Amino acid sequence: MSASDTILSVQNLRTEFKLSRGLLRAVDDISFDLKRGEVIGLVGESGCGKSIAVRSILRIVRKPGRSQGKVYFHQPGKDPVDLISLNPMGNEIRRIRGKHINMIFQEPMNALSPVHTIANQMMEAIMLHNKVSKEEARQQSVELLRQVGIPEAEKRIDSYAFQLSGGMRQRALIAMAISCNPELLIADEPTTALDVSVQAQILKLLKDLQTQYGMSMIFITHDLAVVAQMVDRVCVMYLGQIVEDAPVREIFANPRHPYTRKLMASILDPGDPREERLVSAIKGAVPEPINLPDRCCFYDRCEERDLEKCIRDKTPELVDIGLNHKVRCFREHNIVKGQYGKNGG
Amino acid sequence: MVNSPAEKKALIRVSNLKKYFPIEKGMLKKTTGMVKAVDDVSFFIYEGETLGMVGESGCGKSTIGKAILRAFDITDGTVVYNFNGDEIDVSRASNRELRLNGFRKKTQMIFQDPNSSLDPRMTVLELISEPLYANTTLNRNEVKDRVAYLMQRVGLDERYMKRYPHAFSGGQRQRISIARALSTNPSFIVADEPTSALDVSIQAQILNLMLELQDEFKLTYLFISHNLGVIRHMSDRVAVTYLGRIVELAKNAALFETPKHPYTAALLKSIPLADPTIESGLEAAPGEIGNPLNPPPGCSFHPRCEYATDICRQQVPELYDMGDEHFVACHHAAEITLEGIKTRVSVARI
Repeated sequence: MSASDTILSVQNLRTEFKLSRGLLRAVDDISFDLKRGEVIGLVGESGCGKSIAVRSILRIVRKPGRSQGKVYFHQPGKDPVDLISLNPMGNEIRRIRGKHINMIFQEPMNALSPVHTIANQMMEAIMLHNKVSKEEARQQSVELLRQVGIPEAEKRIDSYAFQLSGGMRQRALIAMAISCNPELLIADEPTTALDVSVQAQILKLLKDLQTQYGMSMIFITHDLAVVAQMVDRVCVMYLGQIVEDAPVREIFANPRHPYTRKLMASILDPGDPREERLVSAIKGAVPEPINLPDRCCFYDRCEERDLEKCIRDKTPELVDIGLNHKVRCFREHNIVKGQYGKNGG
Repeated sequence: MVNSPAEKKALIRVSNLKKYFPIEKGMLKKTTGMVKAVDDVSFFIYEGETLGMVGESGCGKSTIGKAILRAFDITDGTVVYNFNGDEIDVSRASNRELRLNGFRKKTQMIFQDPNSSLDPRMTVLELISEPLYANTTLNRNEVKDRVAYLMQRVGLDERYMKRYPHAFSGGQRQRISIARALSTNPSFIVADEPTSALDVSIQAQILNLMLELQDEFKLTYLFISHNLGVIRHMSDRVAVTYLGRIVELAKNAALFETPKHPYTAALLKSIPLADPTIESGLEAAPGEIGNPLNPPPGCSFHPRCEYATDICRQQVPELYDMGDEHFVACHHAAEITLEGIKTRVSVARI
C-alpha cells in the first residue's frame, strides 16, 4: 500500500493508566492502517479498550492516561503528522480535531450542551475552523441539518438538545460532526442508545454520508450485526489488544480467533430459528486489565487452548494468515510457516 | 376479546387492560391530560410458556408487565390468575389481600438494570432474604440456608453472602436479582429487559440460567425486550406492542416468518443481520413513533403505514384471530402480504 492512500497509520499504540492498584493497560500495542474511504469496525465488549483507543488517537484521553507509540495522520500534499507527539491541548491538534477528524458519541444528550441551542453549537465549530460570517455559518448549519433529515430545519436549529427526540439529537450531532467536511469520522457506538427503527435510519444516514463524501470511518460497536452491515474491515479487540483483523466477509465466513468464534456463536440473530435451547456462552468474565500476566490475553477463558502451544510467558503476535486476515493466536502460528521462526511453533 | 383454547391452560388472562397516567400542571395539580400508556390490551399467558413482548421505548411494554403484577392500580380491565385451579382476580384487590392470598409470593419481577434495582446499602443476604421475611414465616437460620441454596443455584459463591452489590460485576448482579426473584418459589416472573445492560457473552450466560431455571421450577415468563434476537430465542409466543396496544400476537416462528401487521414487518426490516452478504437494517418505517399523550386517531400506526386508507384514520382496529392463534390488529391484514425476516446464509456456523 502506498502512503498516499493511507489516511491513518496506527503503530504500536499503548495507553496506560497508573492507578494506585497497579498499571491499567487499556490499549495494549495496537497497530492498524486505515485507507482513504475505508470503514473499519472496532468490535469488542465493554472494557476491551475500543473507546480509549480512538480517544488516544484524538488525544482526548483523561488523566492519568498516557499514550505511547505512533499515530500518523496523512493529508494530501503534506508531511504526515504524528498525533501522539503533539501537545494534547496545543494548537496543532486543535486544528486537526474537529476539522479533519471528528467524532460522534454514543449518548447525544451528553455530547450536546444543555444550555446552548443547536445553532449556537454548530456555528461555533464552523466559525472556529472556517473564515465565514455569522450569517453564512447559520446558513450552512441549516443546510446541514436539512441534509441529515431534520424536518423544518430553520425552526429546529434554535431548539435546545432536550427539545429534540433521541433520533433527532443524534442527527444534529452528525450534522455537527460533518460540518467541516472531515476526512476521518469516528463513530463511538452511535446507535446503541436508540431504538431499532431509529437505529436503521441513522445507520442509513451514516452510510449515505460516507459514500457521498468518501470519508474514512472508524466505527466502534459491540453489535456484530451492525458491523456486518456498516464496515469494510473488522478489528476484534479483547483486553486492549486486537486479536483478529480481517475484511468483513472473510471474518464472518471464517473467524479464526477462539474469542471471535465464541462472540459470533453467541449472537442471537432474529433470523435464526432456535435449534438448541441454550445459547453458546463464553465462560467466566473479562478480567480487569490491571497487572495482567504476560501471556495470551484470552488464555483463561479459551476452550480451544492447546496445552503444548498456549502455555508460555509471552503474548502471541498478530500474524498474517493470508487474504488480509490477521490473528493473534498461538494455534494459528503453526499454519504460517516461518512466521514464528526461532521460538518454534 | 381474546379467549384461550380449552386444551392449554392459561395461567393469566388479561382483558381490556387500561393504564392511564394523569398529567398534572400547576400548583393545584390540575389534570390537564392523560398518557394512555396501556390502552385496551387483552391477552393470556399459558402455564409454563414464555411470552415475549417486544416494542420500542414508550410503547407500554414495561407498564403492561407492572400492571399485571399489580405494581400499581390499574385504570380499567381485569387480570385473572389461575394457580392450579385457584382463580385470583387481582385487578381490584388491595395490597393486603394480594399479600394474604399468596399472590405476592407466586409472582416476581426481574428488572433491567441491576445497578439501580439492587439497594447499594444492603448485603446480598439482606437483598435475597427481604422477600422471604415479607412473605414467609421462616426463621433466621432457615432463611440463611435458603439464601445459600439460591446463591449456589444461580451460580454465585455463597461465601459472598455478606458482600454488597458493588463488589460484583454486572452479570453477577443480575444473578443476585434472579436469586431474589426465585426466593419465594414463584410460578410467574416478569423479566423486564433482563439482559439489555449486559455484554453479549454475559447476556448468553444469563439467558441460559433463566432457561435452566424455567425447566427446573416450571416457571412461566413474561419476557420483555426490545432486542428481537433475544425475543426470538427465548419466546414460545410473541406480542408486538405499539403506542400502548398489542398490534400482533403469534407463535414465535409465525411472527418472524409470516408477520401480518405492517408495523411488525417494518420492525423486522429495520434489524441488521449479522451477515455482511445480506443488506439489512438500513430500512425503517418513515417518521417517528407518535406521542402517547395525543396518539393519532384510528390505528395509531397509520401515519407511518404504506397501506393506510380512510378506515385506518377513523377506526381503531380490533385484535382478531386469523387462524392458528395468530392475532392481528389491522384493518387490512387479510389483504396484504408482508415479508418476514431474512435468514443468514454465508456465515460460519460454529
